[in-house]
Amino acid sequence: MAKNSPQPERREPPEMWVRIRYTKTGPARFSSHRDFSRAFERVLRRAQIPVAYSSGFSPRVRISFANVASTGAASYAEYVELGLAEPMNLDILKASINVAMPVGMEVVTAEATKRGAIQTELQHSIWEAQPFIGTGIDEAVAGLLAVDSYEVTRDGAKGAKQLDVRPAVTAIEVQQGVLRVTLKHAQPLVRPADVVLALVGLGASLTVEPLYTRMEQF
Amino acid sequence: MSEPKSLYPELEPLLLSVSKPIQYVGGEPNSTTKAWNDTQVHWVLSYPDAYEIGQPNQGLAILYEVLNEQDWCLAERSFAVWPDLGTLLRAHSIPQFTLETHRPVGAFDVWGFSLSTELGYTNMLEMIDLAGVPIYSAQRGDDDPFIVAGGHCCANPEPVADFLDIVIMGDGEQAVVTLSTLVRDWLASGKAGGRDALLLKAAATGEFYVPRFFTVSYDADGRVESVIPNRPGIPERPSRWVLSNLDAWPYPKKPVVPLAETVHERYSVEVFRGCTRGCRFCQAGFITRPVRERSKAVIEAMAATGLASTGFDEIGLLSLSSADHSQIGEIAHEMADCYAGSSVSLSLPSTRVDAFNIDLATELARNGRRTGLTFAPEGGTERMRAVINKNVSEEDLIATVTTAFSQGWRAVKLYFMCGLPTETDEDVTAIAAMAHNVIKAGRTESGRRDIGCTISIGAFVPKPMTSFQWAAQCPPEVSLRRMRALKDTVRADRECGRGITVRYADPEPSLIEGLLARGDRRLSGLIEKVWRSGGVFDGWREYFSLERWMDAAAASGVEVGWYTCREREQDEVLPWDHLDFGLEREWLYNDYTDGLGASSLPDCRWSGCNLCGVCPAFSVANELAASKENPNGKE
Ligand code: SF4
Repeated sequence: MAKNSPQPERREPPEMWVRIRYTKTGPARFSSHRDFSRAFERVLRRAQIPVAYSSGFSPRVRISFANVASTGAASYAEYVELGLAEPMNLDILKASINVAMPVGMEVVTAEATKRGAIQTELQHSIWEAQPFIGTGIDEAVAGLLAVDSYEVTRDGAKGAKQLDVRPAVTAIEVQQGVLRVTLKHAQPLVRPADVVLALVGLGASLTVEPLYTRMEQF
Repeated sequence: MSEPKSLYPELEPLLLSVSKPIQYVGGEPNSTTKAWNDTQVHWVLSYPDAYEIGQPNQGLAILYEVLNEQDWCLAERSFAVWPDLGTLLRAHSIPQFTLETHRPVGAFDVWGFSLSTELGYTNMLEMIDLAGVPIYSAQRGDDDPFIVAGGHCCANPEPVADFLDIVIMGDGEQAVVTLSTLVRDWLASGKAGGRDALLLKAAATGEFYVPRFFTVSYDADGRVESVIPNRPGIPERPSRWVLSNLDAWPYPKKPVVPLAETVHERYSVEVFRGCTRGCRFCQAGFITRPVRERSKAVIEAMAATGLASTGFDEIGLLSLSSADHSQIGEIAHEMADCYAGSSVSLSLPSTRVDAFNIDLATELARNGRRTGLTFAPEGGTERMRAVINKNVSEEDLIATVTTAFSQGWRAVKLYFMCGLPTETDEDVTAIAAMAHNVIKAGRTESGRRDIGCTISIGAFVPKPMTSFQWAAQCPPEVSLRRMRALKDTVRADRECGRGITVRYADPEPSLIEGLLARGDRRLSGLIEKVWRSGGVFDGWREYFSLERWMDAAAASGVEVGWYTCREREQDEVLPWDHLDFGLEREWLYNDYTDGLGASSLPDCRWSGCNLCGVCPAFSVANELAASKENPNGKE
């Protein structure tokens, strides 16, 4: 028996990176980022995808996320990048993952990519909030578009936080009880709920709390 | 009953404002959803705590699959909701729901609770009430579910007997299917004879305990005088279910894979059930005798299919003392080989104090870090250990840790109990010297200073169906004093004390655990009172309130000390004496007095039957995998 603990195995870098677009709808909307990443690693093992692992004592799956939708928000456009230890037919990859996915999570597309591309290429999200009904909504939307800057106070786990929502809004409209807003990804990230806070600040009054859904990223 | 509607549309908006909503939505891989109308008997399986604690429960996972494999049964899950959601549910009149289909639990036919800690009783009442079902068995009607309890607390279900319709003692695999058949026939008959007809039929088998068909009388001093059936045709001593040949029951095959984070995230294979080491404090051991091992081949096959069906990256080799499996060396070696180079890790709960345990741990940690090893001497002095029948000498312990340190381990964790029968202050402070010696041995052996030892000590609670069922529980203030003195003694040696951490659990909840463990039916009012005054999640430090329990006890005329800190007389009728776990009462009492006299008893698995009574009672025997494969080999 060796006196010292064994050295961890060195692992080869991934052979291939895959960009996966997936949904988070129905009950899955309530999963947090941690919930999803844990579940997704298990999906990959059940589906027997040849994922690449990092080196070290506790090897991690080579996976990276970007712009993760928050707990409670649904999405048709979540993205991950996944490193594979060996190349694989992406239609088969998609089908195998989908068989193993929890209810509400489904791979929409899987395509070869360069590592880190989702961070640089996905700069905007289109969000919908619904039901979006109440009074003073159109005026508030017009009011927001008319200014260059609008600060809201977001209450979070770490206390209240001030942020300017206006620069992130590149398009906004309300039609048939649905708010549709395009937000530019920036630091700090403006969320659709922040935009709704701004609209309420500008005089909108909502009948019910809306549910949020990300429709696209581009 | 016609198909109940899903509550999800009403529930969904509430989930935006509660913590960890994912635990309430279901939809996990391997969860099973069946059509209501294609099945005849509809079960809900519950553990009376939050999802994170209840979901990994092995017993529940097994029964979930056993029931869902019957094409005429359906089983869904439901756990305790945290108070933030509980308040919202009540405000919106939404009842307790299942995870799979969000149907109201009250619409199901049978509702099973796994009771493994007495501190879950208030949560059980909260769940039943939130479901809109009357909390007392006597108040339920023909359309309410039958509330069935199983699990270790059923060694004495008397404190919750008034809330339960049926109690299953022992292994649940066959029991739930048998009960389902009775329920199916009763439903098919149009519930002929009402609720009592089903209960009578179940009770008449002698394999299901229906508390309300038993009348308890008390003597002038308040002790139980008798517990006897109050209906004709009911056996006087309902008995425990004992499964043999575990290889024929390889469950769970594909357990639910949680989305929410839970306390155990692994695929567990039960390598054996039962334990005959005979530790006198250990209820789990006494009520699960004899040992029934799974064979190596089945264990390995279960691990492989379990990993494939769940995607977990850890395998737990589960049992009360896994290093005792007759083939564990080969199993550990073969499995470590099989998963070498993969991301799969192996774990084996074992606290045996011997070198073999280290070999196993080293084997299982082959490609990982060697973090810490756990040993459970349980008592601080050799005399104390003889009392509890945990026969480890101090030399064994030091030799064992020395081996561990020489093999590259840097830290050990030692488990102890405080408040054991006959214990003195010195028995507890002696643990300090033992830990000092561990540190010294470790430093000498490894030539390093960074050797660590953690002492984990908790208050002992005498449990029913054990040799210590007659013993007085040590008052919490005494346990606390001893544990504090231990901490001081550890620190008094500055040189060694630096490497030692003492962790002790608050003895206050143990007092309530002790009250409920050995209580009788007169406690049901107290439990109800505590729950009505807001008591839930008693197993959680942030929710438990001793004051609430003591106030309610005073108001209900329950003398806590009488139930806990009083030694029972030999001929006193114990509230659970009418329940047949196979243990001969006289044998247990002799083992108790042997214990008080510090006389030890060997394990019947290796040195012949000790005549505890269990095997002949149920026509079973210790089943060791090694001797099954090689019947002429060594036993
Ligand atoms: S009856 Fe004998 S062999 Fe069976 S568990 Fe008891 S002591 Fe052991």
